[in-house]
Amino acid sequence: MTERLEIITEIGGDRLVFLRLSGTLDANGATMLQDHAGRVLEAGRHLVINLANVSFMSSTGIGALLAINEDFGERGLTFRLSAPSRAVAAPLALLCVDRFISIHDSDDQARTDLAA
Amino acid sequence: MSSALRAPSTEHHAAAGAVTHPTAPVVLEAPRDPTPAARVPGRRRTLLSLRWIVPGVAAGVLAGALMFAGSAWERDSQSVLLREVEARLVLEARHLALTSAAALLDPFPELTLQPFLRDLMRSRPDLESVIVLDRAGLVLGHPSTDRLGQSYVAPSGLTPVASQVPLQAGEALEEDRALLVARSPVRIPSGEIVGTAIVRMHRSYLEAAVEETRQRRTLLTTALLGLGAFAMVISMVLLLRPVGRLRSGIERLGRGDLDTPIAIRDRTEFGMLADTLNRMAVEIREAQRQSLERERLAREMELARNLQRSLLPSRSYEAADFVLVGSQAAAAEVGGDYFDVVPLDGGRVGFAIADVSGKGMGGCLVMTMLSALLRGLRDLHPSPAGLLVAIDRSLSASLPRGGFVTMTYGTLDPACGEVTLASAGHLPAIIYRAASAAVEWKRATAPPVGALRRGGLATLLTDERITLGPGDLLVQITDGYQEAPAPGTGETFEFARIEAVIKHHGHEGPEAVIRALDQAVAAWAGEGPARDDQTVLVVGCTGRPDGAVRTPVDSIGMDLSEPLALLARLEQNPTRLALEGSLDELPRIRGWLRERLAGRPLLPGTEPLLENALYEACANIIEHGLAGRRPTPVDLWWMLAPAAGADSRAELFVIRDHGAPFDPSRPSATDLDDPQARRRGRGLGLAMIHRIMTRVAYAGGTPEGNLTILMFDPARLSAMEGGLTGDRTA
Repeated sequence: MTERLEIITEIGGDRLVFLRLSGTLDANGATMLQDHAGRVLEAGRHLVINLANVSFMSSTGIGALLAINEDFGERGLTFRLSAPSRAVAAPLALLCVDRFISIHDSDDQARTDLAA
Repeated sequence: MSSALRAPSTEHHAAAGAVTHPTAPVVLEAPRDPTPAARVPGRRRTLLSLRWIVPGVAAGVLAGALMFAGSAWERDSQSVLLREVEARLVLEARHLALTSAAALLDPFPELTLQPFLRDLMRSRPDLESVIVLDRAGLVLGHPSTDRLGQSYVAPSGLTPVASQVPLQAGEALEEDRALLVARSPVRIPSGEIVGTAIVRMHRSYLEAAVEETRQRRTLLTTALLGLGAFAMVISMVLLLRPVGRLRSGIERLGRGDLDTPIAIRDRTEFGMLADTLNRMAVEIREAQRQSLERERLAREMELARNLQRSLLPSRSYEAADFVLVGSQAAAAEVGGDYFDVVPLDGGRVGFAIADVSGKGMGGCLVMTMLSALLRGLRDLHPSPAGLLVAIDRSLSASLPRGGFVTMTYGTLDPACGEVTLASAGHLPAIIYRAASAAVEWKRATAPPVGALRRGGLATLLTDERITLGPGDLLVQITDGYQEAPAPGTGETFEFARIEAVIKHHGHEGPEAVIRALDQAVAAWAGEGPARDDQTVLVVGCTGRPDGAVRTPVDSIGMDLSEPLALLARLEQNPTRLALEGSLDELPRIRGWLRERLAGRPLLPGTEPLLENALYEACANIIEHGLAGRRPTPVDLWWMLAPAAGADSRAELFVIRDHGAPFDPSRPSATDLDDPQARRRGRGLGLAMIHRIMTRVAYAGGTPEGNLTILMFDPARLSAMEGGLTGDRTA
């Protein structure tokens, strides 16, 4: 019944990694996402998380994104969100997450922003 | 009811004002004229410099020592010289005796001895006479021929000399005032004594020799003394030269000149003393700088406090059956609290309460802008939400980075008791209902002014309407009350205690509530100035309970004083969703919700938001209420309820659980501006629920379980449209 979170890792360049999420970003998904992001952090690469296929995001999921953002910021690495689906955009806007994490409409925009 | 607006508390201002006079000049120089108590009595003292005292004393001691040593040396010299002369005289007498022995055996010894003795006398001016006698005492040898053949007469008064010169048998050494006489027997080889040899010396010669020695010594001593004294004076003057620099440096310090260091670089105690004084000057300068900084801050604080005071309304406001009473107790450090009451068109009254992030002069300047904007824009925007959005547009650019203002603005129509309220991130308004002595909470629907970029506030702010009946109060506070810490533990006062005070004193009116709040917080936090401003604004209805004021229009028919009656209605409702009390069950909410909302005239995007709110409410109940317990069912119902609009209906959701009470109606205290809070990520679910739902109520511990009631007004989403429901990927 639960659409479990699936994460596809894509190398976006020398120092950039994309994580493409699909399914539900709830407490279970948040743990999984933090594991993936932790590996990217250890590798010292910038991270963009694509949320286009996320069908639901709980507050735990948002909390995970904020924590990942803090971890990357502390290491001087960049963390971005891209292409949030309608189901995800609303809770992100509700909690004003864009005050802390840059959200781009597409991966290309995120990539361009990082290159700048 | 009160007829006078309480002036801002003056006690703290007075205490702070006593710190310094705002225009008092700062004295940098040390006082030149000491106080009478500090003045030294008596004549002015003449300076005796160590640079001269030390060499003078040293030279005196050296001269004394030299003179003492010279005197002892002279005595020794005289003694040695005398012994030497005596020994020599004895030897000469002995030598003369040996020389004369052969001559005395001659028939005419005078012929041999006289020339010899005459020549001897010529070469020895120190001798008075040289005489050789025969056995009978007749003079046989003498430098003068006249004395030859005469009997020798020794000078009277001769006494033996107590000499250390060893004498042989028959020898003698004698003296009187003028002469020193040595006698030695003349022996022939057979050992027989045939005469006597006498050598007489002038004592004056000896005295002249001693005098000559004394003069040489005196000359040498004087020269040495002069040279030594000169060397000593020079070296002392050079060595003690830092004393002068040290003295002038200390005098400079005394005059208040702390910027010129004492330049002594040597490695003696003077250098160490100078280093100590220089360090002391630096420390005094730093202390002075800190003192000046404290004075500057105190003056700025006083200015800010005066500014803050000048912005507050100076009297209470009465309109028909309503009175608006405000109070502010200023913190030790000027906070950013502000409240205002302004008349509006048509007899309405506007009221505002705000808390500016940042303290001191910066916060005060923002407050000044806020006051000007409120008064300038109030008549252009009848809607409180509209006014807050206009203020946000104007003020955001002027706020410092990361700065924001939490603000509630409302309008009161005294004719019907209707209050229209909008809150941008401010603490909830508390409504005291006189009829039931219960309180309701009105929470902010949007983040603070200045917190969202690109005018995002407009999509979140909505007006809420409530009606105040007779005896009802609308109480608004700033966080100085809620966050007042208990000394020692630091535990804050919190809303529960504020609610208890209002419930207990609400029937006594606005003044009594404010007084009771102040007393309760003072008792909680102890004596002394508060850490943050404590500001409260109360709107009270003084009308009689005769129906003159309309009943509230936002009622949704939920009488939480009878939750079981509501539950009875729900039990008849076929929309129940029974969840097993596990997080894994929560995805079922989506399908259930889709069925419930099918056909409802809702805007796109409503459904995901409601799913989020219901998911979070159930997840919180499962995680907190059912944690560690055997899973029990969680039931969810949906129904329609009357909403604010004349013909509109609200979506009403009721959740029942049987776990430990968990009240989600309290707003989340999570502050996402705090990086630690962002890392923890706690409280986001509650924040989400409160931002989506129009109303959250809770009735815990009923015989039928805990009831959580969530109301969603579709009109709210229409205000959010474009901000929250826009599909970015579309």
